[in-house]
Amino acid sequence: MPKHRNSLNVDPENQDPLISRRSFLALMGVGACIVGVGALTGASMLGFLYPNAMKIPPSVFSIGRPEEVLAMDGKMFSPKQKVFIETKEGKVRVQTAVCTHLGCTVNLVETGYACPCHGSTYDRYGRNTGGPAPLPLVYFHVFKGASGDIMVDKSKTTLDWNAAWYSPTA
Amino acid sequence: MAVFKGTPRESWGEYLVNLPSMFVRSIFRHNYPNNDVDRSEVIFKNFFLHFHPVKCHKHSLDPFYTLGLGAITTSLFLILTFTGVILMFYYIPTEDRAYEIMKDWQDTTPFAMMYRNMHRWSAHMMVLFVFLHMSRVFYTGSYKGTRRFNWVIGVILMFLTLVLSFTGYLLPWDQLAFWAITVGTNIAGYVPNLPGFEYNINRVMLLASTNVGQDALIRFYVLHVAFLPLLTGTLIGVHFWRIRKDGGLSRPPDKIRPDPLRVVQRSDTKESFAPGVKRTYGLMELVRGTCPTVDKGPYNFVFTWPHLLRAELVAFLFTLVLILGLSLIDAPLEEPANPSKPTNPSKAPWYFLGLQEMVAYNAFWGGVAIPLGIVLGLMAIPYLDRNPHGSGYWFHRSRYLAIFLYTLFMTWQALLIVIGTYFRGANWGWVWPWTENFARH
Repeated sequence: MPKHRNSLNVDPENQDPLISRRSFLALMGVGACIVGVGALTGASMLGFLYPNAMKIPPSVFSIGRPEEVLAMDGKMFSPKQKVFIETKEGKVRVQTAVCTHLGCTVNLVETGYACPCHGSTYDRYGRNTGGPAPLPLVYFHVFKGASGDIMVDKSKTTLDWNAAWYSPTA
Repeated sequence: MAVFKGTPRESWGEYLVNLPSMFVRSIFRHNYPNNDVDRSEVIFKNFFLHFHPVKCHKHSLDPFYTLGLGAITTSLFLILTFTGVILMFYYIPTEDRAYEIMKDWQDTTPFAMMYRNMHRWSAHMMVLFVFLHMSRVFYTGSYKGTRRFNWVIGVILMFLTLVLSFTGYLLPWDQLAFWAITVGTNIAGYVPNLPGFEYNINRVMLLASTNVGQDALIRFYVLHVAFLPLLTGTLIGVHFWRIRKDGGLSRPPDKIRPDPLRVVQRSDTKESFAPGVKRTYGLMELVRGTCPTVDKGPYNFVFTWPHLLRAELVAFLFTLVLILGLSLIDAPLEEPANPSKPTNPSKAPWYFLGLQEMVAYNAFWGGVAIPLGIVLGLMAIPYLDRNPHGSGYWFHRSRYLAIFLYTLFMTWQALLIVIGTYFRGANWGWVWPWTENFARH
């Protein structure tokens, strides 16, 4: 008998059995309804919150006319597309500026790149050298579009910093 | 022989004389509580008071036992609900309007800055007081015995408080907001994806897209103003209800054991029943023994009206004065959201700087695994701590190991927050606080 009680004695023989065939079947029926409604709600919410059509910016974008791009020298940050455009001796390559850790925009520093949010560091080729960044900064495929503009395709990436160069005049 | 013929019908004059008191009684189901019966009825017949017990233990009223931390946290939640609804009359959750409205409030709308400041600082204080309240409950061992699950509910409420704060500071759509969403949803992207989904579903469920924008803002808005407050309010109700059902606040066992065979107990009031009450009997409870104590209240219990209600009022007024004082300081608002570049350094509000410091070592471990482990570990405390002693005592000596481990954990978190606040500068690099000032929030 417990030390403190707040209810009356219950005769152990005066109790319904914990489970009978009847109550078991009823429980299964009620349980199936609840699980079914829960699953339907969950599945519909999963679909509802994950739209089929999302506003994803196009992966191909222009960075300007070849003569404008080649007129720049050195590494420039392009705020609209969050990329670094590097121009040298008539060649151009484009590297992402989005930190591979948690998506902040990295800053150009003397040693390469540094992230202001969690302190990831990269060397000047974009290889992750310190901090929490798990992957290096990728280069994007550069090509000349039909309009003559220099285009960048974000869906084609490479880590080879020599192969990333593109020469629009060649 | 006098025969009872029913009460005579009252005249119009009598009716009009009785009308005011009848009208008041039609609103309040109890009389003015100037006697013990009405002191009981005011509690259990009033909707707004009925979650209180009619009587509570004197120990629960000791301000140096609870420090009023739970009451202060509740007061903050009420202030936050009120000021939040007030702010909703102006706020529009769109990318191009949200920040503008924050700026407009500064000089076009009377008291708007007061309400915004109150809302922001109450949120900061609520996070602080939730942690203080949790520490009080831990150090007094109040999660033991029947109160185990109420601790679990409390941990869920702590988590909800943090999520409410997070979704709240996204809404002004300044630099802090934009990059907090970016980082927060990228952390969600480190949670493993379900198979068959092209983009990480945890991230898309928050953003409604693959990048931060209008679709994300409306989701966080709905979470902040509807979903999370309702969930939190409901769980606060369950939290209170469990306190009642688990026997009130934890307290040490009474030093003088009440003895039902010898009437030695003293009620705190002189009268046991109000004069004029005719029917003083009714089946309350079946008790063991041959001579139950009649006409005496439970040992050391006092009426909730006025004792507990007065204590709660003091806690609420303290909170209100604190928040009104803090509202003289303007809530932070950074530059408008610039999706191309975060500020350098980009710092979360102080309560997330420990998390930011952990994430700065590893995104998955610091952002997903360790925080999840902390929440689950806190929930598991009542089921891991098998020491039955110490409930109701501050720093009970038998609990030295538990107290040491908890203090170690809290010190570790506090240390991470201090490092994140004062020792991190540009590009999250280590700097000494006396060489450069960069504490932004």
